[in-house]
Amino acid sequence: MNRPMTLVDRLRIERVLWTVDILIYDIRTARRRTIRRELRANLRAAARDQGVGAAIRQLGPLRQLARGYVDAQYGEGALQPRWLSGAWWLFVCALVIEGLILASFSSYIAGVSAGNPGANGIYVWNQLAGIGLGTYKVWFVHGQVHSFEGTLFIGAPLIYMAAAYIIGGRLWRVVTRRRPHRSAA
Amino acid sequence: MPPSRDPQLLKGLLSPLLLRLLAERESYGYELVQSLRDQGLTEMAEGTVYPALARLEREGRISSRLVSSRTGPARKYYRTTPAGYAALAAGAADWLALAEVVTPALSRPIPDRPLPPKEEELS
Repeated sequence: MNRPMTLVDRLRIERVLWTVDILIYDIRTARRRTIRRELRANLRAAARDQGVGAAIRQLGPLRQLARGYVDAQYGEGALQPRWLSGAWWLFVCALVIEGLILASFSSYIAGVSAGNPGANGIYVWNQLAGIGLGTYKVWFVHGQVHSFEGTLFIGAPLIYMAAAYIIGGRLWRVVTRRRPHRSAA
Repeated sequence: MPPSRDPQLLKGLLSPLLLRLLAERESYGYELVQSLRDQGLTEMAEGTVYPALARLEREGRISSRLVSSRTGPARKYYRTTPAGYAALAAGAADWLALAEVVTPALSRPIPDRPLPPKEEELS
């Protein structure tokens, strides 16, 4: 049977391809493009034959399909680095550092103001210097912050973020993983 | 309704089956799934077959080329390579040898209840 394909049918197929593409992100971009192209052709052939709903259903669980592609590329059960996951953990780590600095600094200011409503002079915020996050001098005039200056350290946060990327992305697998065979694709 | 089969059992046989089909005619993923279903393997899912093709290609047992289609995007057609023919011959021989042993064992009539241990029979 040769069923006509509507725009909605094509979009449904593209959604499946997008999902599979996300799930096989361990595979290199060029190879993923080849897989997507082939899967698109097969899905459209199946959709013309039996309808797009059946074509997608008969693909089975997409996670299983993606696992199959990753296993086919690197060998069954081979452990892969997770680049996107690493980037996600790097982002989370940066947010945590930022949040920690903001929370610590603002609570320090609030503490000084509350403890001495008429505070005058220089107060030093260095509560996070121990973990390498920076130090600030804050000028108080009549209990209010007049100005501040200091340094937010770069080295330690970079080390923390690199560690988050390596651990979150399991980057040691780059060294330990099996090399994929060259494909004719 | 067709009998349901153990997916793991089918997975083990999938490579020789695909190599056999591709030795007969160049074909693409969905067409191969249809061929397998036509041969009675109705529970064969596309999600199992497509990665198996990718694996066979990675192993050098099949090769591929893109062929333009009048009804959609270009299709990736596969064919069996010399290494694939060798793997097919080995896989078929293994399966036939295994079937020769397993079939008589599993074809014997199943008793209602097992016999007692041999030690009890002797005493």
